[in-house]
Amino acid sequence: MRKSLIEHLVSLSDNNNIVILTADVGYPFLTDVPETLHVLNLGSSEQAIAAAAAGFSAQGIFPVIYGIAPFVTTRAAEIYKNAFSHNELSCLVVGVGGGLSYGKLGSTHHSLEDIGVMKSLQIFDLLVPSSKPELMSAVDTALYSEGLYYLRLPDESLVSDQCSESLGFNKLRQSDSFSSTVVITYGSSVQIVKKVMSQVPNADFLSFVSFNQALQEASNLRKYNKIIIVEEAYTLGGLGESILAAIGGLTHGYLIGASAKIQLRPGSGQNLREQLGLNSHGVLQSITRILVNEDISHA
Amino acid sequence: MSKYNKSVREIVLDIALTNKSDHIASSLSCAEILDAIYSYKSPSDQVVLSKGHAALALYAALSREDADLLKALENCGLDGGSLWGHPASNPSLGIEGTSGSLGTGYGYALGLAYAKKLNRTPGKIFAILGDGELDEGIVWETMRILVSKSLTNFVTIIDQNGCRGLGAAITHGKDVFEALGFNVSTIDGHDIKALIDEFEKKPSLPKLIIARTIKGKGLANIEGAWESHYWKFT
Repeated sequence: MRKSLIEHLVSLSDNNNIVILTADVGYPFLTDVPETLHVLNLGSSEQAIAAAAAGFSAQGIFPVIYGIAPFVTTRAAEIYKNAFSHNELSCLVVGVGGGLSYGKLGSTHHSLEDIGVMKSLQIFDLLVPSSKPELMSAVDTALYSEGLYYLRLPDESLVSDQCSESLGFNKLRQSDSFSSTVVITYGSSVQIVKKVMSQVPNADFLSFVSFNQALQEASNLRKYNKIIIVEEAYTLGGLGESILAAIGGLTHGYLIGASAKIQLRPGSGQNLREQLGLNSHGVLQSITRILVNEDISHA
Repeated sequence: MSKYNKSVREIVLDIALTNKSDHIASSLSCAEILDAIYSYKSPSDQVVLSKGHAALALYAALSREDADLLKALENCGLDGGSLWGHPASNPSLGIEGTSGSLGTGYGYALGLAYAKKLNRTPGKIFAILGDGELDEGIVWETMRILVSKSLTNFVTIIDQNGCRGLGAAITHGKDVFEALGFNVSTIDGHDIKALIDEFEKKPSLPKLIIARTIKGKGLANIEGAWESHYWKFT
């Protein structure tokens, strides 16, 4: 995914003035890029980079901030709030290793709160692709639509080369589906949830890339009796609660995600997902319990 | 050498080879610094590894005095282990502060030292930073407070290997830190005796040691190269 992202930005840099501001990460993909794409390693200085990005944008250069997810989000959040909120500026913040991707490296490198933090600023759209084609589309959206975007890169081991085959929310209107349940997810969880959907009776599966777009189209979800949202993020402050709130679906909405109350033990990303019940087995168990009306993490 | 009769460097290499650990080059860069601190420190002294990615070296130093930790170290980085790839605060194991988000450990260390001063309790704080870590603004904020509050119970050690994660680090000379108000020494960071000699000194200003080191020291194929940050045994 990182390689595809950089290659795509290189291709776009022929006709666009783009600068990548990296916080001392990007090996090996940022070490050898053509000169058309400006790459500036400003060091582990995420707060300074966040402010500088606003300056680059004001001068007509599209800034792409590139760093480890929790550091370019949570650490820099207050800077974004002030540097970007009162101007018509553009920026793409790329968070590498969203969610639990950094596994055994520990809590400082995990980013389960990044979604909530960036959402709460209310100036960013959150882009959460799960496949390479979705990634390209997300980057194009950020560059050509202007505005502020946070792109959360999923775990490299959970990236698909193909677009998710799920319906977009807006296509639900024309859908002849009579399912009573829908399972919605994004990013690293897409491949995990897709794997278990064949074992979930009478349920549709949806994923999304743009949070703002999902919110705009959320009213189409009202036809379902049960809406289950799975995310590799804290459910408190996550995207799921916003989607449910947008449709008044709190009484029949269910959130499956991470909780800060669970003390993680060291392990790989896969192992940590298992501990949080966010691997295939755990997600299927949670969905099954919801479908038989057991009360779990009810929104 | 400890009762386990191995140096920090030897333990790091043993574990890294067995567990295919990350950040070996960073751990080998500060192996002697930690060796020296743990050979010298008194029970009331506390150590914060702010460059948390060298956690393996910290665990190696701690494990020489703690059989349980040595056992835990054998599973470091493996599913079901008890030690993360960056230090997670666990004072009972001697792990002071959570680090891995650069600069945060240094600020935590400042708080430990200031509290000792307020409480009039004995002991010093040793904080180890990487030179790439100096890119973070919090580091300079912490230095300003250390000096302005005259925290002479604090020893800052910069593991100056000249590398950061994606190229050469900005190398700060002695004069920069002297201008801030530190008592500064520059020494060979792989010389344990020279390090201990520095710890023995009692300057009237907060102490800062620039420890000149070599990233990946001892592994000829990666020694001194910034790319060694990503190297591990296969």
